[in-house]
Parts: sequence; structure tokens; C-alpha cells
Amino acid sequence: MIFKKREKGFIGAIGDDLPSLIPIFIGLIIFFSVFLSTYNLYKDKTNLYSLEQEAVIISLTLKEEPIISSYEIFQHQCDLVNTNKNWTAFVTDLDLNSDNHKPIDTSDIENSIVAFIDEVSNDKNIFICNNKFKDKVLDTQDNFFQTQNRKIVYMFPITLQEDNFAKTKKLYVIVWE
Amino acid sequence: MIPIIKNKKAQAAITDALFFLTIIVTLAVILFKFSATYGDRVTLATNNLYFKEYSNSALKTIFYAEIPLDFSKEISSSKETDYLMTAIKEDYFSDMQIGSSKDINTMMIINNSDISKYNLYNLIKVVMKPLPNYDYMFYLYNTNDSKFEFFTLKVTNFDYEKAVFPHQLDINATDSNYYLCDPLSYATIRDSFSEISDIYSSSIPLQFPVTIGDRDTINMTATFAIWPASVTLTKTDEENNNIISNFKCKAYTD
Repeated sequence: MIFKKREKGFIGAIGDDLPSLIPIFIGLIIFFSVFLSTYNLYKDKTNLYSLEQEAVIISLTLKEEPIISSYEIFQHQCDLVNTNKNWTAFVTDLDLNSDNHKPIDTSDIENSIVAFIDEVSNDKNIFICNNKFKDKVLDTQDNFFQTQNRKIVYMFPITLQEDNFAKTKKLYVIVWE
Repeated sequence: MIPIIKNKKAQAAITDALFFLTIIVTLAVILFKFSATYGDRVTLATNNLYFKEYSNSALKTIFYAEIPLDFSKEISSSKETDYLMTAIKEDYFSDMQIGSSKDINTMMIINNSDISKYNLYNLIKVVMKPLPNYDYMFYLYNTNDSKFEFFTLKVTNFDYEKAVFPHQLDINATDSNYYLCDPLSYATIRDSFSEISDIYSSSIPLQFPVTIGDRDTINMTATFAIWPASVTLTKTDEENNNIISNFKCKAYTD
């Protein structure tokens, strides 16, 4: 009888520690949730910085010269770009009528590329370069349009020497995974 | 004594578990804090680099762009074109001033006498139009005589309205004012902009040939600076108006 009294509430080696298992499990769940969340955020931000860094490097390479004096110079600068990311860069008009400007968005860029595609058959010197379309063959089915991955878009004003005069233009640099 | 200790065994285990939970929660908080701030400096550095490069590109564009030497014609149809900075130097050469007026904050476009000044003002405006959320200033500073030869400034105006939540304001950009200014001294500019941290600037030294006096050239510094329009130069509208008056700015509209 005395023996039974002493074993009151005793339900085995694990059962006796059952209340202590609850905070342990809660602690493990909290830790691994935060750890996974931090890891994903770290990975995501690292990818973003990698893209931004590549975009800056490509931009600096392409606009190394203060003025793009010819199509050949532009292509030469394009050939100097060395990256494993997907990228494209192209030059569009910077409308001197300042009332026509608005902040750029992705649709503007896609429209610009579509406009390039329309001009491919007519224009010999389209100022576009990238890691895929070395022969200037552009396709709207390309993964630039299809990808849902994050795109980094940088734009800079540049000067392009045309036949008789140097004109103000915009250089777009787009980098994506 | 031994049976009593044995009976307390479960209580000791739960205390250990609570200690364990405390340590885990502390670690989780540290991890969370790390994840919340991770990359802030990298983001800042990347943004700095981009906007610094943008201001560099803008300055290069201002120097190398060609302009039609005619108010009414497009550059493609203009018979005469020239590099903008060459036109500015040519304008400055004879009378040591850009444009026809001695007041650098005025511009007359009724004849072609201020054409280079007009093109400089307008090209800067065009180059910065793709970044409407950024204000800017561009100036040519004569380092020999310590005076400004050209100064343009863009300031975005905001409407402050009370928001739904107390102690908060809805801030809406209304419009942008473009000024031609004639600041008294470089110190005026330095004092006004010294507290802005998000300012990205690019400068380049220039030499302007002249014929007046015994000097052959005048040393100039061209500076282009941009900053987020949301960054207020001053804390109140009154102070803002003081800056405009200190800089002796006159609003210019095309």
C-alpha cells in the first residue's frame, strides 16, 4: 500500500516527463520556423543583390565610353559583358519633348522590344544586345516575356552618335534569373 | 530523502524545458532581427551606386548631346547643330555670361540670343524626366571669380493632408517647379544641402575660353545633383520659400 502511494501519478519514464515535452516541442517548432523563414529571406535577398550587381556591372561596361559613336562600338562593348545571368540591353529614343515622359514600367520595356521586333526587317543597326540573341533574332515567346522571375531594370541617359549629330537616348539594361 | 527527490523529478524536467524554450525563443528573436535587417546596407549601397551612375550619365549626356541652333526646328531638320557645351562656351566667350542677360536667373527666348542657355535648361529637364520622383540642381560655378554662371533647380511640391489615423499625414506630390537661380555664394548652397544624406552628385572641371581682360580661360565646375523629391530641403513651407529667395530663384515655365 505504501509502495502504491509513492507511485501515485507515475505513468512511466516518458509519461512522467510529458509536461516538459510540450515546451520542448513548441521551442523546436518556433526555432525551425524562424530558421527556415530567415534562410528563405537570405537566399531571396542574395539572389536580388546578385542580379543588381550584375545589372550595375553590365551598365558600367556598356556605357564605358561617354558617347556611343557607332553601332560597332556598341556591339564591341556588348561583347565585353561577361555574366551567367540572362540579360538584354537596348537603346531607345529619349523624347526631347519633356511632356511625353512618364515613369517607366515593364509594359514600356516590352513595348519597346516589340517595336524592335517590328523594325528588325528594316533596320540594319538596331542597338540591342544580350546573351541570347547574338544574331538579333527576337521572339516574343522568349523567356523574357514568359518568366515570372524577378527582373532588374536599370535605365540611363546616354548620347548616341547618329549620321549627322549626337542624340540623347535611353539605355535600358534588364537582368533576370 | 531519496523518495522525496524522486517525487520532484518531473518538476525539474519541466524547469529544464522552460529554460530550453527561453533559449530557443532568444535565438529565434536574434535570427528574426538578423533577417529583418539583412542586406539593408547592401540595398543602400546598390541604390547609391545606381543613382550616382545616373547622375554621371546625365552629366555626360549634357556634355555630349548636340543641339539645334534654332528654337523652332527639330535637330534632325536643323541646318546647324553643335555640342551643347561647345555652344555654351561659345556663348560665354565674348561677354563672359551665358545668355543675353546679366541676371543668370532670367531667360528670354524671343530671339536666338539665349538659345544655348535654353537648350541647357531644357536638356537637363529632359534627361531627368524619366525620374519624376527626383529633384535636381545643376550649376556652372566660376571658381576664378567665385560666382555662379548658370543655376537651375527643380523642386517638387507636396500637399500635406491629415490622414485617417491620428498623428499621420497624407503627402501627395502636386506639381514640380523649375527655377533659374542666382545664389549669392557657394556657402548658401552648402548650408542648404548639408543635411540631406540621400543626395547623389557628379562634378567635372571645365575651362571656358574668354577674351575679356588679361585672362585666357576661366575655370568652371559643372555639378549635377539629384535627390529624392520626398526629401524636404527644409522643415516648413516658410523655410522652403526662404531657400527659393536665398537662392534668388525665379520660376521658369516653357
